[in-house]
Amino acid sequence: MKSQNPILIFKKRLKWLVGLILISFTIIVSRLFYLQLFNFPFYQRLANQQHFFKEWVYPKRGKIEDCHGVVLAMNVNLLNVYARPQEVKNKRSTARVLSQILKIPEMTIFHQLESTQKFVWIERQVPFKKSKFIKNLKIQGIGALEEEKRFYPDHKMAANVIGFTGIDNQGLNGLEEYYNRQLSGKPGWILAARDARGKIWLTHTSGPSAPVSGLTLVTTLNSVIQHIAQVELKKAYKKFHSKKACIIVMNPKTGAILAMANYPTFDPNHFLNYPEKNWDNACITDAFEPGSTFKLITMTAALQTGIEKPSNKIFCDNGTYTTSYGRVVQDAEKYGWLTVKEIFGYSSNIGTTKIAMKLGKKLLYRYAKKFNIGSLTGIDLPAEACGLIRPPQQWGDFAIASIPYGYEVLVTPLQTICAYAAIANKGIMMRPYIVKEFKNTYGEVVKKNHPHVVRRVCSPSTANTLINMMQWVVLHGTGTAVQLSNYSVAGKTGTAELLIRGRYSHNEYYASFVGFVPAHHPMFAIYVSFEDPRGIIWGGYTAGPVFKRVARRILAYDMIPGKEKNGEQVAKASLIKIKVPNFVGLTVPQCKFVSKVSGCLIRFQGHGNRVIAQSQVPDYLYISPLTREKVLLTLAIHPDLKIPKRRNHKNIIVNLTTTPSGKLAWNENHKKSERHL
Amino acid sequence: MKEWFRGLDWVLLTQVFSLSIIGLFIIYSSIYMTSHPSDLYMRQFFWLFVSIICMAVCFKIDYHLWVEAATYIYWTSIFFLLVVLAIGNSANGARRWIRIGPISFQPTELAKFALVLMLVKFLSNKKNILTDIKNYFWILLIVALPLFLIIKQPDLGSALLLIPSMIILIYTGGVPIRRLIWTFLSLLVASPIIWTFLKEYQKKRIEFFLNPQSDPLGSGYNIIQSIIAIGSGGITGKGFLKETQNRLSFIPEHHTDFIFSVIGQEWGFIGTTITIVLYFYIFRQAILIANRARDNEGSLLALGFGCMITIQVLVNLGMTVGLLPVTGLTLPFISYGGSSLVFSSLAIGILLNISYANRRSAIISLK
Repeated sequence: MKSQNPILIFKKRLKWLVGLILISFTIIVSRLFYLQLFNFPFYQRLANQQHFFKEWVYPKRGKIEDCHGVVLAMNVNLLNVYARPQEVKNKRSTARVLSQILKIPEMTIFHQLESTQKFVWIERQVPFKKSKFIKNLKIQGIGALEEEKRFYPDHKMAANVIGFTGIDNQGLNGLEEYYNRQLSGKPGWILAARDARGKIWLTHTSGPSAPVSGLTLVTTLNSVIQHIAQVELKKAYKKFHSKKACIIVMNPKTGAILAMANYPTFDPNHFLNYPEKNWDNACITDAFEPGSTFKLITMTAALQTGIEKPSNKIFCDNGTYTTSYGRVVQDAEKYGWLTVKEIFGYSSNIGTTKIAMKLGKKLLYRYAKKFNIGSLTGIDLPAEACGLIRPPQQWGDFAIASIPYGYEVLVTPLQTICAYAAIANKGIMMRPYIVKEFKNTYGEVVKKNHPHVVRRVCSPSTANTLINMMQWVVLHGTGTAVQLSNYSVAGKTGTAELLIRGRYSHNEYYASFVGFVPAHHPMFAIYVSFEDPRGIIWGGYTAGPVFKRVARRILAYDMIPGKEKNGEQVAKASLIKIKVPNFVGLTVPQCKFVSKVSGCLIRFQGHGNRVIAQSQVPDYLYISPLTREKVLLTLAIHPDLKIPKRRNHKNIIVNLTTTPSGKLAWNENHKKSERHL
Repeated sequence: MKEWFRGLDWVLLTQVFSLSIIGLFIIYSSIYMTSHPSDLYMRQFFWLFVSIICMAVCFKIDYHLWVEAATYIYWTSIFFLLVVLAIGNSANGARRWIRIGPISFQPTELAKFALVLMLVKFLSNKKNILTDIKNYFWILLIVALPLFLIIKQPDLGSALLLIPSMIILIYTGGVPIRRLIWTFLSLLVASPIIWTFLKEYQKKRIEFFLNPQSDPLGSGYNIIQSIIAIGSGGITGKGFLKETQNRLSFIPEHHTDFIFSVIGQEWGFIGTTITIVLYFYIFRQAILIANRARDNEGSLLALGFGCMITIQVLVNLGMTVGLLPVTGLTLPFISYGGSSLVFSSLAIGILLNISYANRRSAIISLK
């Protein structure tokens, strides 16, 4: 080695070096090959996972409206004021300013600002005006975040039907729960990027999916009828010191529920302040032994099968009758010989039992099932109870002397009214429903719930006979307190002893009245019931008067012609009368003046200065005091048009319709009107 | 003038400038989302300008001058290493920087430069290097002193770079292999003792290098994120300014130590391979220059600087692709940072000068 030339050694060793470096570079390139080509999909996914995520965008929840578009449930934007304490510079003065605006003690805010947390809420759900004011102050470290909240503008109006939503806007009760999917819509998403510190960048927006807004429910509820029903029920509820009260108003021809209310009720805006039992919709969730209202089913069975005729006479044992099995049936009063009509009219338990015994278990059971006793009515509300009727083979010895007049069966108020509505509808039973349409945000009807026939329960002639018998109840029987001067009423009273701790109570009753008006051309079927009314116990004198008042008011409201044709006057008296002025031909400033005087709200459509059409005929309008909104008129304005005759307005009424884009559009009448111009 | 022009090693120069230009693009891409991108960018331009001047000056200075001045430069670097230990600015728990006015200066870079010069001086001057064991110990001492100070900072990356560079230089300088093996074995015996001297975070780094997945949010984090960035680049990459890994600041120090991962994600396998080929050609060019050098000094200088740059590249790439522990070494010519760029350019300048001398002598001999 000593003899070797250093230069030669150098060159020899250099070769080794070059080889070593080359190998090192090759290792790195093969590593890159492994990472970038071989494992690319794996790392690509890993990178995307940590960089991108779906940011969900939640749609607006659909509204709930009554049949005329009065909003029963809507969304309001509230703002939450927050602070990032570390960014707030002058904490004391900030606290002072905020306390003055928000009316919170200064020290409370100051302590929050002193906290070591990165983020604190100063006040949740601040009204828009105040929070906007705070926003405009632009204090460093103070801000506001928008939050959507469900709001029920009429508070207790139909609260048990509409239900309420929870903190995440999910439906928890009533329609809100039943139609939660339709109301909530479909959330969309945006692909967002997130950096290592968790900060979100909405820069990358490939393939976003827009949220689909929730559908608006158009219910069959009529807020005027609902209001009338609720007010009358509450009055009577207080008067009788009842435990619970129910009312249902239904259109017997379609099964549409026009009003449904319970008492005690609750305010869905603050549902947590009320006991949980108030949230239930007792009209559908509570099944009772109905008492005499069940006699309708026994009678229908007897008449339809031809076993009895209304004029057949039956001996009623002077108030006490003992069956062969030893069951003692009692009447409220002592009756001797009664016709079938009278048995129904005076509500004789003995007579009904005798008819049922003639009828037999099986037929009675079959007719009860026909009337949907023991099965769901199928109304579109959650938590419906199906009631109970046992099959005949399970009936005890006493059953045939109990079931015919409404004991040993459990029936919900809704099932009862459906049974009576079926008779009113000449024997055709309709399925009750509460939502008639689903509208999208543009107001287009997306889906309709049509009236649905369940089945025929009896022939029209039997139904007519039964209606006559029910009219007799009101005219001569137990329901005389329900008589209306202008309208014929058909109905049935019910007074059942409540089962308290396994024994029938002799001082707690379930009093109800169910019927329909006008008797032969029924517009409204109404059910009223009180649980444990005090003072008077009889259905005819507790629930009856409520039925009467509600019926009178809603007949008047709906302008149903009565016998003496003065229904209309009554109707208009209970409503607010507004005159819609004729704006056609006026200039814009003139319109503004007229609208102020008349109390109508106006909105202009188009360009120009003269009104050429208006969305409502100039006439007197009757507005229910409940639709608190004023009349909103859309006025079509146009430039360069001379209106020669102001008065022939009738030809230039334009029906303005809403297009999908949310703008008002002319329909074909427009051309016609121009021709007249 | 013509002679000067012909004597310039255009191949080497082109490679260096291509890498610098790639560096400018990648730095732009990795810093344009930060709060003061133009500020950083202007600074990088300034240093690039300074580097070109340094390169030109070095090109003009005869390389023998450097070897003669080696002793002074060496002791200056030792002085600065001591200063940095005493008053240096710390970053990530290590004192590496000296602040002189607006300029931050990394003495380690100077030390690397000086060590090569000093070693070359020793290896080329002592004719009896091959036999005299005393000289060998002198060499070891020359290497050990700055190495100790660098480890003390602590700057594990530079140490990791210096040791193989020095071994190569000593080995090719003609020292018998026997001695090198003995040195190596004695170091191996001493390594457990060295391990106890390592700082806690250095131990961790080595541990996590061995198993990076064990602590994804701790020390292994950098490597994992860097690998994800490179791996998700694929063949062609995501394109200029399209990469996400450092844009969303998942990789710390992406414009300095981990800049190769940005190349990996933006330009994919094609980009990374081209970069590596360019680096390899710099090495090849340095070896050629060393081979053709007229004297021992020239050969060893070219080899020393060539190895220094190449091994720094290898250590950095190895770290970025997860083959070596995280050390904090920059990628020459591409990474952001003044000191590294200036000293790399000085080395290239000297290489150019050696190459120029070779060519000139070749031309003269032809004449």
